[in-house]
Order: sequence, then C-alpha cells, then structure tokens
Amino acid sequence: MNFFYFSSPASFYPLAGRLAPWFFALAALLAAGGLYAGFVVAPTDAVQGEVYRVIFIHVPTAWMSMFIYFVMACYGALALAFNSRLSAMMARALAPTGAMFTFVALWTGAFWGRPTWGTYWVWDARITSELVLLFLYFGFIALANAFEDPRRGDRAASLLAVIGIVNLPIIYFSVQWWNTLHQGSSVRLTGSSMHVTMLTSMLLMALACWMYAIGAALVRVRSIILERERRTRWVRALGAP
Amino acid sequence: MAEHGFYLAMSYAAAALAIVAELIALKVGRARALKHVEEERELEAQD
Repeated sequence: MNFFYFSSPASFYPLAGRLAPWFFALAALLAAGGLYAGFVVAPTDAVQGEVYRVIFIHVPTAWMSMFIYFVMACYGALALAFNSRLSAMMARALAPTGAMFTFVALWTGAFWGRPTWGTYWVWDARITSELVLLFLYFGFIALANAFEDPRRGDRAASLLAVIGIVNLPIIYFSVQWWNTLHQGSSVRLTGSSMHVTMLTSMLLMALACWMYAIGAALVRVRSIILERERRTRWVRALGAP
Repeated sequence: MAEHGFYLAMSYAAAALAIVAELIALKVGRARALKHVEEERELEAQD
C-alpha cells in the first residue's frame, strides 16, 4: 500500500469517512468497559474514598491534552517543512479536540482538588502549565482563522504549534522540577503504584479518549477538506458529499 | 459515594457535556461545509 497516496485531500477524504464511525464505535465500547471497571469493579481508595474515581476521566484527558498537542505540532512541522496541505488541515482538525480535553482535564482536576486539597484552584506549576496549554490551543485556533488566505493562517498557526511544544516537557516534569501541590505520576513506563483494576480502568478510558480524538479529527478534517477544496473538480463531482 | 457524589457528578457530567458539544459542533461544521459546496455548484451552474 502506498501511504503517500492518502496524503492528498482527494484520496484521504473518502478514507476518513470510512474510518471515523469505527473509531467512534471503538471509543464507545472502550469507554463503557472503562467506566464499568472504574465504578463497579475497582475498589474504593483507602485514603481518598470514592472521590478518587475522578482519576478515570482526569488522567486520560490530561494525557490526551498533551498527546494531541504533540501530534498537532508534528503536523504543523510537516506543513511548514513540506508545505503539505493535508498536514496543515490535520493540525487544524486536532486543535478543538485538544482544547476540549485540556478544558476537561482542568475542570475535573478542580473538582478533584476541592475535596482532597481543600481548593478548586491553586497556581501550582502543573496546573498553571496545563492552563498555558489551553491558551496555546486557543491561540492556535484564533491564529489559524485570523487570515483571509487559509494557507497563511496554516503557516502562522503551525509556527505557534511548533514553538508551543516547549510547554509539554514543562507540564510533564513540573511535578519533579518544582515543589508542587499536584501529586507525581502514578503511572510510569517502568511500572505503576496503582491497583491493577484501577490501572486497567484508567488505560481503557485513555484508549477510549484516543479513539474518540481520532474519530473527531477525521470528521472535522473532512469538513475542512470540503471547505478548502470546494472549487475543485473532485469535490463538485461528489454526488452526495 | 454520597459524600463525594457532587464532585464525581460535576466531573463526569462536564466531560459528557463537552463531548456532546463537540459532536454537535462537528455536525454543524459538516452541514456548513456542505452548504458552501452546494453554493459553489449553483454559482458554477449560473456561469
């Protein structure tokens, strides 16, 4: 299979349309499994009680907020380096979903912080750098739409995405570099300090978020492709696009 | 669960709401793109 064939919007458009429903279906299945395991199977936490179950939405959305930004910046770099149209469109398609996950991570963190730390918000290094990530997403979206010529918007927003990637290690290592209220990582590549059912639930929810993000990005990129390519022959030739 | 039910409910409800809002936005975006394609077709038909 020649993957470069799908780097053209005309070839990628039908492929994205075929794949998106499968990713949404997988996301729904994984989320159902993750929530069942998280709320029914996983035991109550000895220290935090029931409120720890916020972890099953907070951690996966926080992971996705950073991962989506990383992928978006990679697409941005590809768009800048090779002037490839589809890369810039994919970066645009990922940004709103990344912003949504970042907002949910901050929101759920606040509602986890109140009963455990006694406050909804604190200007802690981890939380503040995550807020900066949300502003980076907003900045990317605003910049991408600020120009009449969408290709100029693509270039400006891609540049911001690439520069903003410096914030990712700051978020990740903030709990080690500074003395923060936010706890350190419970899951590392070398192992986890969590109970196996808790970890399984969290990983299922993370996979669900991942599948949802891919599905949403595919649906959004199809709209972007239609908008951008509406004057081309192949779009006009689409019977029922 | 009752002691911390509010915090759990606010977390999961907000997440669900955010996802529903995004799905609606995706649907609206698609409808707008299709409308623009249709307008382009009509413009060309007039020419």
